[in-house]
Order: sequence, then C-alpha cells, then structure tokens
Amino acid sequence: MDESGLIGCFRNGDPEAFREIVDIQYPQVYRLCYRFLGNREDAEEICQDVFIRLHRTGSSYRQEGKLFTFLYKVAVRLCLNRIRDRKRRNWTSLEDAGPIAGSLVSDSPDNLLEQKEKELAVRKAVDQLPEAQRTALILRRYQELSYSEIAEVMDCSEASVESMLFRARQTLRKKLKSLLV
Amino acid sequence: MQMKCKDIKYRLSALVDGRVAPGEAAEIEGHLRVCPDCGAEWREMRQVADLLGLLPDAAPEPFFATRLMARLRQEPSAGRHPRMRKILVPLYMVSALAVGFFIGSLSGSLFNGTQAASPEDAVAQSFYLESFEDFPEASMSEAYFTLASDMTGGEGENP
Repeated sequence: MDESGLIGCFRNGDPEAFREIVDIQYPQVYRLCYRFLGNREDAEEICQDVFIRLHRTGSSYRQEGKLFTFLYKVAVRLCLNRIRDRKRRNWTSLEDAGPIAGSLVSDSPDNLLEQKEKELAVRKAVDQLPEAQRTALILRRYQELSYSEIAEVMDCSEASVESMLFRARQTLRKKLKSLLV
Repeated sequence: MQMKCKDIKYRLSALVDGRVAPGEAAEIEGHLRVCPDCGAEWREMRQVADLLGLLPDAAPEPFFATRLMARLRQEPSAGRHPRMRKILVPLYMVSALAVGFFIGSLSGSLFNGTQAASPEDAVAQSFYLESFEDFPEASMSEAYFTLASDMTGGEGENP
C-alpha cells in the first residue's frame, strides 16, 4: 500500500496502518532526533513522542504534502524544546561511547583520540549554532533533504534555507579553523 | 556580468550541496582557480563538510513499534493533548475547591442552627465570639479596641 493509502486507513482508525507507518518512518525520525540530541535514550523518547502526536491526530490528520514533513516538523520542535530544557537545567551530556565514525580497528589509540577530539569539537560547534541554522544544516547534511523539503519542514522559503546554510557553514568554518589544514 | 568575490563566496555553500546550475558552477570554478582568497575559502568549506561527517550516526534500536504500542497502552493520557491537560487539570482543581467551599458553607449554615441577626454578628459567630468586645485582659486586641472606642466616642467596657 502506498503512503496515501496508509494514511487513509490510519485516519479511519486502522491500528495496523498506524503500525506500518511507524515501521516505515521511525528510522529516519530517530536519526534526526539523534542528530539533534546526541543521545540514544533521548532520541528514542522524543521519537516515540513524535509518533504519539501523530496517533493523537487520528482522523483529524489533514497534512498536505508528504507525511515525513509532518513528522520532521514535530520532531524538530520537540528536539529543540528538549535542548532548551537541558540548557535551563544546565544538563551536560555524557557522550555516547560508541565507535568513532569511519574508525578502523587497526587505528592507533593516538589516532582514535585525535578523531574523538575532533568529533567533540565538531559536535560542540554544531550545537552552538543558532537553532534555525542548526536545523537547516542537520536536515541538509544528515537527512539529505532538498532545499524545498527543508523549506517545507521549517515553514520558510528556499532562499532562507540557502541563507541559513551559508551562515551555518561560515560560522563552522570560523569555529573549526584550528582543525582545518 | 562577472561575479564578484562576495557573490562567489555566498554561492560556495550551494556549490557544496550541488545546488548550482552547470553554467554558474563553471564560472565559479574558473574564479576559484585564479582567486587565492576564494580558493582558500572553498577548500575550507569542503573540509568543514568532511568534518561534519565525523559525527556518528545512530542506527535505531529494533522493535521500536512494539515499545511505542506498549507506551500507548500503558499511558492512556499519552493519547490526549498535553495543552488541553494543562488547562483542564487546574480547572478541575478550582472546580473541586469551589464545590468544597459551597458544601462547607451550606453544611455550616445547616448545622449551626441559629441565624445571625446582622452581618457583624455573623462574623463574630464565625470566630466563635459572643461579640467583638470579649478580649483577654491586657492583650493587644483589648488595647486596640479601647483606643478605637475612644476615637469613635463609643463605650468600651474594658478599662
């Protein structure tokens, strides 16, 4: 069944259709949440909240366009709320002790340490970007959305998306100067 | 018309994303070959793009839908709107208090037996006083009452 068919069944109260929508959509929503929050537990919780919001809409779901834009919109809003909440409470993340992206078993400890330091510096720089710039960058760089899709998720024009991405990259270029060759 | 360095630099971000038309891309690349400043910025822009690739991806945990369904079953309130809950909970509390006061005042007047002759008497009764003039000796209340009686020309029983 295609997306519109599934949505139709979901709006008619079919629980199997809802479950199928969840199965199809959750990996990308989870990844998006993880990119914002950098923490698996929070990503899982917020990802669940996103689908609970969808479940609540039920028969009143009237979103025009693709379902993922609705889910991404909700996810972005909830992630930013969680981040604001963390800032209010001076929450500090214990970084996930997962493997470094692109690292090999044969890499020396020094190389791994250097990689980890770079990773932390990049995460910090991205986290310090203004919310709109960070959102545009994450949607583009990691979720690989087109400018028009980003514009739809963020309720803005494509020109604004281009401007936000330009400013985000300029800021990162300056903040990460010490890591550039 | 030739693009200036400022315009070129602005378009570098779009170039990273492959969002530049072939003709414009050729013009930008030609400029980057001859302009060291823009060329350096382009190299840095690409390095930033590589650095962003260092952030790890997280594969989602399996059985997400099962956990979600369990949460929906366990938390019936999860299916309701939190904004409505924010309004409804205080509303319920205020209503409960109002009903409590109403029942309390009703039962008070029912069980009290006697009706107050005047509003002043009613207040005095509510404090279990015969009148406002019964004060303990040498208390602040007595002193105040005496003073107030003198000022208004009333007769205070207490000296």
